[in-house]
Amino acid sequence: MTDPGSFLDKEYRYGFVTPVDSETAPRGLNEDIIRFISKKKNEPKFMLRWRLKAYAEWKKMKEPSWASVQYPAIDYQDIIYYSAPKSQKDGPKTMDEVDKEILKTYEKLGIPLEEQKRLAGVAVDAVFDSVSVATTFRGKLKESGVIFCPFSEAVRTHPELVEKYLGSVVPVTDNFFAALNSAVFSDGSFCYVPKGIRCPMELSTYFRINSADIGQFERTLIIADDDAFVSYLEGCTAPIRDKNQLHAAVVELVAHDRASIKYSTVQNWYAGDRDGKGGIYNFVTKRGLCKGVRSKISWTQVETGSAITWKYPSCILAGDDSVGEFYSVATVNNHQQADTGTKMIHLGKNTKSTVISKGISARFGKATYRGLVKIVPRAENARNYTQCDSLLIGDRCGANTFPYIEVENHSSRAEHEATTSRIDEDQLFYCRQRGMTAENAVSMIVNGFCKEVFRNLPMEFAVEATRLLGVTLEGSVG
Amino acid sequence: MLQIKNLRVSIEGKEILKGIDLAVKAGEVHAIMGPNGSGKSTLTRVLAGHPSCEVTEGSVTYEGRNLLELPVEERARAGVFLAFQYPIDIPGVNNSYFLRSALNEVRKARGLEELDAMDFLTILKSGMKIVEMNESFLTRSVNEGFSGGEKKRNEILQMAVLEPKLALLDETDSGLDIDALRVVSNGVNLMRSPDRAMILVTHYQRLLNYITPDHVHVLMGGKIVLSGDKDLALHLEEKGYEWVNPDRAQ
Amino acid sequence: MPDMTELQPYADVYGKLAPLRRREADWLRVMRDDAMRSFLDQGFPTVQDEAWRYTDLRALSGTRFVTDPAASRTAFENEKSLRPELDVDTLFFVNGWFRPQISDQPAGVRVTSLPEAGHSPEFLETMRHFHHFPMDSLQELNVALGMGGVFIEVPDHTKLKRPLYIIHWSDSHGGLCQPKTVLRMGRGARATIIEDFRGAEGKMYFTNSMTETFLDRGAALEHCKLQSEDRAAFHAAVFRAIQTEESALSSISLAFGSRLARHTGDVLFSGPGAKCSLTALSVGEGDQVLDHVTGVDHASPACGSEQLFKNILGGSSRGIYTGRVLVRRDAQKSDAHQTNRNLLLSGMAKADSRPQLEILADDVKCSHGAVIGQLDEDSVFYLRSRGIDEKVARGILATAFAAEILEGIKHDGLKEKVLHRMREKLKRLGEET
Repeated sequence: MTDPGSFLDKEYRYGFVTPVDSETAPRGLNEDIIRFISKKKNEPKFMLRWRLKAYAEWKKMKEPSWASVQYPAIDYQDIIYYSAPKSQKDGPKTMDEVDKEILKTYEKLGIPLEEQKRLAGVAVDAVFDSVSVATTFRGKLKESGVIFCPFSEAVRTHPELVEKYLGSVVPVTDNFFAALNSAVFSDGSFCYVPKGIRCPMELSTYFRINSADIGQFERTLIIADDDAFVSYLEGCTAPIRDKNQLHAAVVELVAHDRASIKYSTVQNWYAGDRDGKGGIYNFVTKRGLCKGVRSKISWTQVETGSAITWKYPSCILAGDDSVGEFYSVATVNNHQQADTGTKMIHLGKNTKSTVISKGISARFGKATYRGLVKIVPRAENARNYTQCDSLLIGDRCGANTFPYIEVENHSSRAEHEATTSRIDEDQLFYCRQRGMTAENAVSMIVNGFCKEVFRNLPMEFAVEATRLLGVTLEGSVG
Repeated sequence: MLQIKNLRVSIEGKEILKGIDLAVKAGEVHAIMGPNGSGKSTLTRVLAGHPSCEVTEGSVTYEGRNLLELPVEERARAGVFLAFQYPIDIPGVNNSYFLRSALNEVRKARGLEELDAMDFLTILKSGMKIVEMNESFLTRSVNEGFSGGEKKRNEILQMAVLEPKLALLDETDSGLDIDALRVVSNGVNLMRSPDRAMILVTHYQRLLNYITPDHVHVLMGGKIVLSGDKDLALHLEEKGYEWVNPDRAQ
Repeated sequence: MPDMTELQPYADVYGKLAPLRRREADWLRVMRDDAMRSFLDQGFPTVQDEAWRYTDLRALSGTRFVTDPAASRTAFENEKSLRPELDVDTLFFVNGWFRPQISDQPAGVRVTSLPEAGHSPEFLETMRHFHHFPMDSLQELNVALGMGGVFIEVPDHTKLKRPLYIIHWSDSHGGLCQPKTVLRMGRGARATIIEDFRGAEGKMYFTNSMTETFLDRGAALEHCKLQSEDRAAFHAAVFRAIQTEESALSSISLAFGSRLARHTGDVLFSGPGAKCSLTALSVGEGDQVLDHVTGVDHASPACGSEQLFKNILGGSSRGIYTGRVLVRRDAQKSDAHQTNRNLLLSGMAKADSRPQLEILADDVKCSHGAVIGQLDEDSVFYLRSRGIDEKVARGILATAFAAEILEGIKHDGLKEKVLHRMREKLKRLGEET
């Protein structure tokens, strides 16, 4: 086999640009830009105050450098912080008002927004650059009391919920990128599932970066009240460009008593070309708070895109008997770098967490698992199980595994296991002896390697994830 | 069907096969016997194209083609099947999916249409009946968590489904209890046909109580030192390998 | 910025040692100057340093430890009682100073004390290799002030008949004890070295030790370190090994004593085919902090490293493991495994584990595992059901947990000695809980 990484090669199908007329803020970041964004969004005063406070904090902070990723310094004054299609003045009222070009874009991305074209069972919020352009099935969701709308709309229509929960899981000062996001975020999705409601369909947000030189800063807030359940999916793509673009999102989840939130991501931002030119910097803060007893938050992520990924979807297990899960596949090919993992903070009694992480590095790619499991003294009988496996394809790539395990009481148990190796020669020989090409054999073995994670994805995403790995679904989901 | 001439093979610089000559015709079953470390397994592995086997001399002609030139998967598609002594686990890869992918690759090479899931299942189920395997087997990962006997039965199932022309069975009897041995042998016997050849590699004679070979060869020190009919195996069983004069190897 | 009032005493000691330094080789003086400067620049590590995240040195850095060069000559009476009753050759360090007068002269080995050794080309040649290793400020402090060391040479193809038993005895309250041992193992040489750290009861001293070993082609070293310092003392030690082609190392660290201890094991594979095994057992009681750090650098192909680190933690003690394995590009066929197991025996005990793999070659087999948990209650029940008292049952199971480490000690007499110390320790632990 000349290049064993080749099975990961596929043309980036989402690299096109949509010709829309956009209203764009001037380059750079200052208080005026923040006021401009807040005004554009017609926000109540508390939001502007909150943003300005975040901005003041951000100015005091330093960009983190501890991750095992390398990139040239980002000039934060050279980024455009707001860009919205002109046709989207006050947000869409009905689907007929959405710009035809934008509808076409989503159609091309495989996410048709017209409800009749959608698979029943998935409601979509479509975020295009800095604004949400459409949210489907809102009527149907409303019948069951579920609020699902663009974030900027929620700020106006449900300010009490936003004020109560915004920043309650990821405080403004949490980290450099979260502070930046808090100051300049322009849109995102908001979801509230009331007590006792099982959300009747999957919710999803599709993030699209279209304009050049903009940074996308979205904010997602999902609240599941007592006994509620919601499954949320997130997808993302961007055009092919030579210049790196910044995406710094914040996602906050709150699960009350016995509530359950399942959050799935298939991340496919533009990754840069074979020489590492261009691509998205994906610096994201995702955290869930299991606030109530027996609540559960489950993160599943398939990270295949982005030039650099820096994200640690985490769970704070505050409620007694609450459960946190993290399932992750991160593939890095060419010059991609990923530093990803999770934090499981056990605060409540009998809390449980499971971490399954699969890293695949090919060519010059570098994948790092970084994780923290912390069990505090009062979290009696807490349990954690972590399994991290790394697969290396080619002799120029790398894999790091950096777990931190801190246990502070003697009734709890944390277990961590990790392996790093290349694809087993005997497995390859076995597959080829049965008639498969080396390339198919590699992709089949890799797919099997990821199976534990893929089976946690909703079907629609599992198909996408497997396709992204260049293999068919059947072998992995059985 | 298969012509092996003066085949010399090294593994990690050490010569294991020191000039093998063997001719196998369609429809024949050859048993290769010999003590541990004699090179029996190496012979099957070099025919299948294992990357660790370095051919230093000799030739192998299979159906008129130079077998040694073909990549592993080309040999498989041309009908060479190796039942592994230690079948490999592939975690996360569904057993029936694995076999269907293999079968479709082989069918493509033979100019046949690929099978859909339903047609495949019919073939698979009839194969499973032969080796007495239950349904749960379909959903498990390839060889993962299988007992020794299950792994060997899985090999025979794969053979039944892929319908090779030349089957190489490497110590298929090792580690089997008497029931599993009966099942496996039965599978092999059902596969015997005038256009299919088989090479059985075994340490013990007991497999040959179930599968009667046309020819028996004794491999010692990397060479075939003695060939005969099925009675040779019985002699060996009775007298042990010491009975074979090692000078014959010279 | 480091607190200068904390560091001043060390600068003063440095001044005091100037006459001794004048007798040393030029290169050594330069090295000590650089190290002192570096220590004063950095100060003591704090929990803000990633490498010291779990080990708080404030109690140490707030105390001004001093070294008295005169301590290298004072009369020493404990010699007889401290001699191990084993068939070994014994070397003595007292308060960090090597004492050739009372030490044995082992046959077939050259033992030279510093600064005398500093003038030998072999010493310079050996020391050159260690530049590869990263230094923290405690190690800088040892390089700057550790003057009473020893250089041991085991010539090519020499097999030591008896183990070398190095006793580190400290009894100076407020004393800074900085022993330094440099060991050069010639080609194919074989040796067993035991380092035993002990101190006078109730004396609060600070041991900051450095042991550096160079293993030439095919050399084999068994190293065992027993840390039974007094419970009032602080202990920091680094054990380093440069392993050339086909060399083999086994290093066992047993941490029983001191209020706060950190043992660092650093290994560099500088030639192919080398193997090392790093193992450790910590038994913590009271408010002890027992920290183990390892760094294994696979800079050459086809080397193998095995790590097994176990902690038994009672009282409100804390056990820490940080292990780093680096497999460099082109270090193909590397095999590296890390295991860390922690037994928490009491409600207040804590364990922190950080196994780390950094892999830059693909044809490798690397893994790590960490478990933090407690005794298996089913096993406790089983023993009790056979009539064994619960406390005894727990003791038996804890001993069994430790056995895997002690099995690595090949010298029977030594194993017996270690077992004895561990049992005493576990007994106290049992009474505590």
